[in-house]
Amino acid sequence: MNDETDLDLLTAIAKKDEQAMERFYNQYSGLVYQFAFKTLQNGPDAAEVMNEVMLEVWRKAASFKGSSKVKTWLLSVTHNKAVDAVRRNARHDGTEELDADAHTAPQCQLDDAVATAQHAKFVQHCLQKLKLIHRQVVYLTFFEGLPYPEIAKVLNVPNGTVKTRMLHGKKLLQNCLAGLSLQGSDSREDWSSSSSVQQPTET
Amino acid sequence: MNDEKISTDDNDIEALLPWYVNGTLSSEEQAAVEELLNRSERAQRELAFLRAIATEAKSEARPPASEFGWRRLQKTIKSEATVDRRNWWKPGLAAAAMAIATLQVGLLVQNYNQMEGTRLLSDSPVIASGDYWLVQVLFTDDSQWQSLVTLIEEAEATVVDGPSSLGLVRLAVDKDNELFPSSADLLLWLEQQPQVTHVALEKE
Repeated sequence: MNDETDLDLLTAIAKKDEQAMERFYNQYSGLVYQFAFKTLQNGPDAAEVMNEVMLEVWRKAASFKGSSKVKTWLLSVTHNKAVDAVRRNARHDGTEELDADAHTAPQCQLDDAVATAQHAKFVQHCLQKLKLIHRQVVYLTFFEGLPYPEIAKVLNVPNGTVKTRMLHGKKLLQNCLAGLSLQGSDSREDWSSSSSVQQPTET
Repeated sequence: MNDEKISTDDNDIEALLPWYVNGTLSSEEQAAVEELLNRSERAQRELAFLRAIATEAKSEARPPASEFGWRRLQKTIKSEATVDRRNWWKPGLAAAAMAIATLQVGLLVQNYNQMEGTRLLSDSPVIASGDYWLVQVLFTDDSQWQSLVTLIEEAEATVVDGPSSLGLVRLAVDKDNELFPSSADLLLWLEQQPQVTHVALEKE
């Protein structure tokens, strides 16, 4: 669906066209849920945020002026709602998150990290351990394929901040994956599938 | 291990590698990254790592739209619409309240202005003499202040206080007047005025 069609859809939603809202929901609920889930790492909370975001679209579709892409606008609303949820829950900074000040992985470990990065579950595991601010940038870059200026708009931060967060996130991922590589291939067989993104759940 | 030294500029270019991988750099940025990749083994290793991450990321499927989620949203939307329909009268009520408040303020201001041309109650010879009838008068809701002033002037009365929150006005009328030989005549005359709904004698 292109942006022109999205605008038509939002115009119809602003006029309280419920069918248009359903089409919009079918088009974008996955995007919203997934970003919320990557941010919150909690299925029920992500579903709650998705509901809030879609409700905001229903209520404020008329406020979308088209100055940014619909996807960027939607991700930005999702980011704000998810951060609100994090603040409400105050449980985002778990003790298992990777230390942002972790040293850079030695070059000898980078090859190990590259090798370990071939395993989706390891990548998911290490992504989950990133701090929220790093995880969001990595997600929006590699999962959503957004350019860094768009990411800056979504997160409402300067372009330089996006690059810095990516730099730290990348180093932490390298350290994490290199560390997993050192644990040996035997333990890799024992990984559960709990790290995969869950389907939206009804709350 | 590669111990190559890289400049600050190269660091800035290397910071663009993630977006080189996702193909969203401008042509100038892309050219700068490719130039760095041609001469930096470290940048090539970073690129390999980022590509591996991107490949794994792309393999993750987007969750489908949840039917339950839509039903929940739909329920909220419908309940909001119901509430909106139920509350159709609220804006009208608010406007009416505003109009009443404005009218009230207008009356008070007008009251103040009207009395500006008169003297203070304590200076009134009627009150000073102490020889007066005190009556309570309730006017109709649609009474205009100017018509009340006219009535008060015709009765040669003095406003003691009011209008109260109930709309009562207390008037003092000199017993030694040429219009009303008795308080009963005063009350009868007042009761006959179209803008008066109730009259009571408070002080004989």
